[in-house]
Amino acid sequence: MKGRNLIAEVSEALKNRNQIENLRTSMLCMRDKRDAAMAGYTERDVAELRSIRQSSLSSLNENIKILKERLEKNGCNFYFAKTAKDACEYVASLARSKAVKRIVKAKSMTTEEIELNKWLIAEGFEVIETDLGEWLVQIAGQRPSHLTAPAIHLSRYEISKLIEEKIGVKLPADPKEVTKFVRSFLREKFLTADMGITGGNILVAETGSLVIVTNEGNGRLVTSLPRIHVAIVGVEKLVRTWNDAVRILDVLPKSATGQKMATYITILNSGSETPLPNDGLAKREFHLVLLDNGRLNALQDKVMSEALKCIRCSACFNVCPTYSVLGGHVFGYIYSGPIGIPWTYISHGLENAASFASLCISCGLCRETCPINIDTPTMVSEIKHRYGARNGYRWVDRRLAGYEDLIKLASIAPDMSNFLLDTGTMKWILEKFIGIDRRVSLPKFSKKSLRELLDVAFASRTEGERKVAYFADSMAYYINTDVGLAAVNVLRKNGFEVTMPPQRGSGMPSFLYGLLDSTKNVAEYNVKHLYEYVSRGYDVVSTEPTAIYCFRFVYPKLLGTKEAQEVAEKSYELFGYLLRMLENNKLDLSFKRYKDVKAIYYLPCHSRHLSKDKPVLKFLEMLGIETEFIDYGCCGMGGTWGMKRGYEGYEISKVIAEPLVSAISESDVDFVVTECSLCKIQIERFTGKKVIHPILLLDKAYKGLPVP
Amino acid sequence: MNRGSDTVERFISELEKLGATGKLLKTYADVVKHISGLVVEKGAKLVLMGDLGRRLSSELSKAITSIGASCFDIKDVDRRELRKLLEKADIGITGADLAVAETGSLVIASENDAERLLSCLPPIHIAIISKENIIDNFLELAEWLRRMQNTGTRTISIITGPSRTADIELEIVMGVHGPCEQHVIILEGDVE
Repeated sequence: MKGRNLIAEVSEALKNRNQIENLRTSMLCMRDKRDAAMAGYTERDVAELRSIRQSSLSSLNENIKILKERLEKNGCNFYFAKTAKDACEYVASLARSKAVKRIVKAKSMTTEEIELNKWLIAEGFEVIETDLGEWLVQIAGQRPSHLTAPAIHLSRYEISKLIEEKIGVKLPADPKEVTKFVRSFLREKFLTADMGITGGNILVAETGSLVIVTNEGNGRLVTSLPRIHVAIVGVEKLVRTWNDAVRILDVLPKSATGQKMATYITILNSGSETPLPNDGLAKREFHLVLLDNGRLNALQDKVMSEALKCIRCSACFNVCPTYSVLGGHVFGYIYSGPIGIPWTYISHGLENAASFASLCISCGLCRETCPINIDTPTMVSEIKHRYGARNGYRWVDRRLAGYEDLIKLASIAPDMSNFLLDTGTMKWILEKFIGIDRRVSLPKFSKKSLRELLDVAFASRTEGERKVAYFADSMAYYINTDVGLAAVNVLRKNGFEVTMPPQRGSGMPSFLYGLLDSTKNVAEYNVKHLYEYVSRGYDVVSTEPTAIYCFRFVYPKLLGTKEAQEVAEKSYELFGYLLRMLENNKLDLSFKRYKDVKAIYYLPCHSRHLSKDKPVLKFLEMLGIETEFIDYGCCGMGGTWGMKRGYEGYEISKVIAEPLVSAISESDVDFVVTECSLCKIQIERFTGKKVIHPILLLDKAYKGLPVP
Repeated sequence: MNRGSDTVERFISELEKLGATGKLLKTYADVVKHISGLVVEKGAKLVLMGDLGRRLSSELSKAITSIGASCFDIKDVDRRELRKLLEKADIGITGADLAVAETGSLVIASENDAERLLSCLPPIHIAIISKENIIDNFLELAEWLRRMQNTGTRTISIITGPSRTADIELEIVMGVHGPCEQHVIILEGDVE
């Protein structure tokens, strides 16, 4: 969308408090239902589904050939549409030649993608959406804002007003009453439609079958009443066998809506005979329009082909922090939500994808919740990178991408930097010239860097049998050096020989803003130095979840080297590492137990994948600290993103943090515990409560000292 | 295929979670009695049946007609009347080829769409399935689906509970475009 003013859209959306509250509650509810339904879904299941999707895509051209043969053998019409325009023209010309007047549709994002309704309406056809949410969005003249819940942005009150305005029927603001009305209102349309249009969830090549999944039953009526059925399906929906198809069908409803199974699955491989009004049975015409529209190009794109594996369950929407406050009209073009960014790139181009990609804060929750582990963050960074490489990066993004270098620079003269950063003038300068919101209070630099502090400590080094390389990351290196010292102490206490290899910040800030050349440089540097130790049998541990997230998920992909892969496999978050020792009875348990200390634990987003079992909670329990675990998803900081001026970052970040902030503020805990140093800044600035890294607690406990 | 009582119990319990009902019955007479009861309870005036087998169909037809409602097997209906009747029916009764205990799903292959519409258009759907045909897990369906889609051009419907939506503020409402009620009868013997 050229000339899109995202800042204005964001500031408008943030005024809509009702929508924010509704959306947020809905997304949390969908997330929890989904998580409950997917509880038994293991890493092995992820790998299996991923390989099904991968092999389907690898043999796509062959599958298309088989599908076409099968369908034509069954007397169906098969049309391969290269572009959106080809698809729309095919449908319109078919409708014209068959004297179609009324068309009913079942929900299909693919027809949204190609803007089929607009095309058909311009040609004079009556087009009616029949999914309840889609119908509401259609009469409102809007686009769907969520993949599986298109009208989730509308409240029951808005809906009842909408129906009164557009249809002229006054209904109470009650979902039951509205549904009852829509049932009878649309029933007549189904019965009198000449053509039904659907999308498709899966195409099974081996039998030439189309699979449509719905809950309401409109998909069944659209494919059983009208005399013509057209299905428009993206090529990526093709799988080879029924074994593949049932696996997808098994996961899709669980991951989409938390249902064990969707209400209706319709499977057809031709048009069957239907009873016509006042006539006998007649065979329905079935047309399959197989749509390319950028997909086959994307298949050749090393990074973006990942998006083609998506089964459109929408689980990533429910956990996306920015989507959950802004909704799909701002966080989207036609496709919305996290996976909508690469999907927009594939079918609507770089400009349109970049028009909202900056709303992604790279928390990685989309990747973590995806039943196929689709690496959306990497695709989004790549889109930012390609856009920046073509049109130049934004000044503020370049500065914040180099945030780690800035820290390094400022730490040369920590006293001076600390003094300056506290002054109003500097805050004004930072906002004006860099783009850091003046309301952000930046953390204080340590007088000595961790390296300098440890050089003293290392003088008395002990040789240990087990060896670890400690990775501090920028914050523990220059600012929260106490965290680094505590980590080294605790590891030594447990008999480790601890070394701190030469290192630079993890590179997450440059990854976040798409300056992938910088990320790559940092990755090369860190891998080179860490590998030197890993190859000698060291494990890598860090107190900063983001660092391990980078080592595990970002570096191997960016570098593609054996060294990066080996470093990834040997990298651990400190508490996961300590928990493993505990489980092997190798942890020194001679630490103090506390009494009457209460805390809240906040699990950082970048820890979610590797610390599903929340090892910190286990340790806090052992320390006797009464801990409450709260889970409202991401805190909204996104590393440096929440520092960005006004509606580019700070204002959104603040709204994202609201539920977390109010839960913490209202509690009577002594402090908050979290591992991430940037979540710490966010939580401290909005709650005024102290945020402590768990290693500080464990270190104090080993020393028999009171909690800090 | 597993047809133990565990499977049946699980199937019924899943149906109930979905807001449907499930009932295990021994004989045709039980089925006829149970369905007649439902017809009276729901105040149904027009009942349509399909794909049930001659004997059950005729016994049901007799019983339902005797309590004052109209009841037809769609095989016996004049084809020009078929559509009108389907639009008016209060209850549609169908067989089912398979059921899945794990998910509470019915699997129905339809020779034509008149059969399919029996479980789409009327507000109440009653399905009768032989206990023998309940399978444990959804993934077991793959082979059957392949065979059915390879031979002939039937439409297959996998139905899991009554029609539902959560499109307005995620509140679950039953009966959007499909049946508002679903009643499943599990027959100890064969459905002919």
